[in-house]
Amino acid sequence: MREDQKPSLLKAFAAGAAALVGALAGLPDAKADIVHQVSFEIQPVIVVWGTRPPDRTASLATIGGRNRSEQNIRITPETVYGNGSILAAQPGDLQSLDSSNSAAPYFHVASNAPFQIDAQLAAGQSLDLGQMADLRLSLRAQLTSKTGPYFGRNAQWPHSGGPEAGFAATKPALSDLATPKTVFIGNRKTAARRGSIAAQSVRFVVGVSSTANEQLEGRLVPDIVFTVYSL
Amino acid sequence: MAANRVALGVTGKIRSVLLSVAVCAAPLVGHASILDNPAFNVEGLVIVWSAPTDGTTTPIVNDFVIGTGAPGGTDLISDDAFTVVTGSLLTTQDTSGAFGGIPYVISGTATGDVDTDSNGDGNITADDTIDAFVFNPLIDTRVDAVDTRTSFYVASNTAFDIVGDVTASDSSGLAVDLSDFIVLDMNVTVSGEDDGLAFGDAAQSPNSGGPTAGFTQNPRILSDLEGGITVFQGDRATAVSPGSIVEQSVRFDQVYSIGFTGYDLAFGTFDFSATVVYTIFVP
Repeated sequence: MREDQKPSLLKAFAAGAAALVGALAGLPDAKADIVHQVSFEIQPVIVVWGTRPPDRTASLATIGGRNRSEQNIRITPETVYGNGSILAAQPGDLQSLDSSNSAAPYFHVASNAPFQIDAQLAAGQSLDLGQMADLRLSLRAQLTSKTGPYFGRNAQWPHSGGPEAGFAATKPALSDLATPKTVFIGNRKTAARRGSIAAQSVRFVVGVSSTANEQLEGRLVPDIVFTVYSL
Repeated sequence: MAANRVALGVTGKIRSVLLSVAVCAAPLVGHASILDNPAFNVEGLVIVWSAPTDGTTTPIVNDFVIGTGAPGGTDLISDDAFTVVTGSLLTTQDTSGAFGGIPYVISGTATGDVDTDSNGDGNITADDTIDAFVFNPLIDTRVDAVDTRTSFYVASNTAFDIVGDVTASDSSGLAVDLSDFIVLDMNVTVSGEDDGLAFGDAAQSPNSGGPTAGFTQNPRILSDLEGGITVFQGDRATAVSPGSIVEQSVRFDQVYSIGFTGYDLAFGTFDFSATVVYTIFVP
């Protein structure tokens, strides 16, 4: 026992002894109670995972929290930008970002709660904003796919309205992504049944479409940061 | 008495005189008695202690039992104490659900289990930081929640029983009573050191069968305790050799977990609370 604990312990014992003497008449029915307040507060947890360039090894980040600015767990970046943001897997050139291209980048989300996704150009982008004004960012959700890593067997659409529900009606122009723009708002968790993170994940495929009539030339590599957080 | 024997051999006159003297002297050889019948009727004594609720880690005696008792009997110290976080002298009243949530454990990653409670304070908060980690989607990497672990200490010179009772269960907002899914697992740690305080050096397991013996149906679901049931039956004292109360104490450990298979993301979010009262008495 530490020396600084002895006086209090002795004091407590002395008090107990005094109470003991006074309570001798109650001997036959004495008891002692000790209490535990059991508490299980399960907060939102959102697991975001993508691929780690260049070898596309699966990597993972977890986040939890009740709003964008108050994340509970801070993630050390790898393919991940801090505080729950993830860089879209394999940002490609203009052609590969076309949603019709099978090489479109994607990332996965598994959650126990509804979540929202915001998109923003990564810091330090030096792109031709005039050209990007013609380019619109979109997301779409998948529960199954023949390409990429296994996912979705025990998942559900993150919006009760189905695969099309929850996405921004107006697709934001890349030139507007200097500040965060909401691209998806769900209303339920992705985990439908007990299972692994991959099995409980929904895939979000990143797409870019052009509103310009002319053929765009050149290559852009817009790093887009998607921030996924609970509502 | 020597004077009486001399008087037997003299004449009657002298005998009468001597008898008179003897009668007069009789009070001088009487005696007064007081009886002392030393008795050491040592009643059973059970002392329960843990930590105070003021945030300090100074151990206090919370309660004790003398003689025989009963679960509904007199509570000699009416203020009930709170358990401590196992391995420390921090009371659970301040740490359990005070803020933040139950930490998560992500199991089956390439680097083993990842605990989101990086600073070990029992909750997940913005102070916790973890690294991104690698996993193979084909491997069963999943999200679980950590257990809640609590303890209290008992020193005794006799066998004692413990009754557990669940009250004030709150599953508000949930489709089911979660007390049906919380699992309680109890055992005894005979000796150890918590926050620098060594206990149990002069103690033994309160059941002769060992640290896991004496527990009735273990583990069990929490709702079993509603109304109060016996969760432990001892058959001997904890004190095995001379020593202080702390040295003669054993630690009762409770592990509360979510379901027999753990938490899963499919359970969603919730906030469940309940009060569990452990009553110690000498049967």
